[in-house]
Amino acid sequence: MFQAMMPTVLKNLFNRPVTREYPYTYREPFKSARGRLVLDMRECIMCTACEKRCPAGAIEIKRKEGLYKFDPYSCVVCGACVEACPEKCLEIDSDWRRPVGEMKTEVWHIEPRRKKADTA
Amino acid sequence: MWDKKCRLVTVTCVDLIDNLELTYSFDHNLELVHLRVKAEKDRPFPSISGIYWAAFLAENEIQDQFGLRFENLHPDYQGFLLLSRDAPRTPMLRQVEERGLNEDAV
Amino acid sequence: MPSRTVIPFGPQHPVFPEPLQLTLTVEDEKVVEAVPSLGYVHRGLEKGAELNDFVKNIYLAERVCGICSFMHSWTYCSCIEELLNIEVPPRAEYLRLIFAELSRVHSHLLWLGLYADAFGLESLFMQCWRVRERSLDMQEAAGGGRVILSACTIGGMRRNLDEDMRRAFIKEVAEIRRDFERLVPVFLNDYSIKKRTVGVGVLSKEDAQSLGAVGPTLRASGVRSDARMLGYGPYKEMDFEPVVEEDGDCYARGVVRVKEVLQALDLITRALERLPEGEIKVNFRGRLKGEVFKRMEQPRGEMLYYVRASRNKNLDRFRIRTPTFANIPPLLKMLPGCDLSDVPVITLSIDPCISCTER
Repeated sequence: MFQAMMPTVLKNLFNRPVTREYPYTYREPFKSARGRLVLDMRECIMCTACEKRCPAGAIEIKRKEGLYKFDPYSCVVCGACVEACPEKCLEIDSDWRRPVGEMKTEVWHIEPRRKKADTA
Repeated sequence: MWDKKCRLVTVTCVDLIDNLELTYSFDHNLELVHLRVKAEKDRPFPSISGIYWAAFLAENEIQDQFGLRFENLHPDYQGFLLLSRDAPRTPMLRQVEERGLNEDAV
Repeated sequence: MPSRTVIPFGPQHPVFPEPLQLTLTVEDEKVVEAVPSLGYVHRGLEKGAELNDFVKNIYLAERVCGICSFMHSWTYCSCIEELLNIEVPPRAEYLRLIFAELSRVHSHLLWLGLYADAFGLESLFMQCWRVRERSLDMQEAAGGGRVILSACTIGGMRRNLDEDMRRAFIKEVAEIRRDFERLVPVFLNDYSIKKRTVGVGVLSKEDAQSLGAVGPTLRASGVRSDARMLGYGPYKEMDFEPVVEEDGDCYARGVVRVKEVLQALDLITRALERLPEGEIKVNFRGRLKGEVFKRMEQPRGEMLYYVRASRNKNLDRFRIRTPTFANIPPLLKMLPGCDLSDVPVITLSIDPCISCTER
């Protein structure tokens, strides 16, 4: 035990700690980490592809009223909606969501667009 | 199976509405051997835990989820291995799906 | 006649990461009977899977267990691939192997740490987890999450490894190996560890076989059985040889896992070197029909998936037999006759994962 652990013990005595003091020193997230879902609603065509794919039921779309609801706290950040979106308006950011005091659902009002107007 | 030194892998139960289908899976030198039996829902079914004692967990689980009673099961949890006392009974049966899980809770 | 006492061991106990209750009947200090009570973390996941769309079930299957989550998604995906007759591209298969062995490395390191903690070597616990952190960083850099990777999908993989990352991975694996090899002699030769584990919780070869033990618990009892020997995925090209120990005690189970970490690191390096070029995903279509049994080797042992489908989108039956579910009866066999103070070590030696067991 002594022979085996001694080099490690000595190294740990004289080296800096391997842990970080989290709120003060912050590790940059990895580039391809799945941190949180960011929505850009300007391009949304209300196709509901993301709603259908979401395994957690975090996205709720009401087409008639033009409502788009996203509950970030039931989102499991799997990225299924990002792959489904035809307009690429969903994106996964590598930075994670910060702790909050109150859980809020994000709501957007979107004017329903006609498909023909896009092609014309 | 016991004489051939097969290792019991698991017991799988499927609800076929009219009756239950039990599949006993055994491993013999890395080969899976399945035995398939049909069991009636309201009649007790003989347990294999007397031969393969390890089957008691799987059989108790089936008793929880499908309500199939096993004879000579030891130890017998009376259908409360996984489920708590106030949980819906037999949640894996098909009729429960139609009725809705919550109505079933007593 | 010594007096008998009944002691509830758990559900909240310092050595258990998860809630399991063992009702122990003790005679003075000797355990004579152990009865488990489960059901503290039962989530009804199999039922949930039947109500879900089968594509969404990948994410559900992944959440059966927080440690071996990648193996769950792999097994589920390969079940569906078999039902739909999909040929997975070789690069995707190799990537799956790399991620699966990475999760084996981090699961075993986690277990070795907890195990060290169970017999009181706090500093060894810290050292193990420090090494483990590197493998978690690798997973996060490549897969996107620390443990829940969501990298596996039906027909292939969602994440690719680029050339730079592949090189970095080979280097990182070598460094994990170097770090871990410093700890290996402690686990194998240390006097106090041997004192706590040798001859404790012995499971004979016959008992292991008849009680249906799986994984390291079975292999430590001298049975040469590993689901990877079935040669699923790229394992058939890897000349895989399972780690087998003869003694069947807690020490042997520890040794099996120590050796499996080294073996898994070896497999990762070989797979990274051989990683074929090409596509990582094929599209799928078709109707789900039929049934399939699939076995794969998790860190904790062999896992069995049963998927049966006749409807278009939903599954009729989804059954998961996780390794701990099979390892509980052998555990109950090991406990009678041991000292009360050895119960934590013996219970941990099967690597219990209760969330897996109850689903």
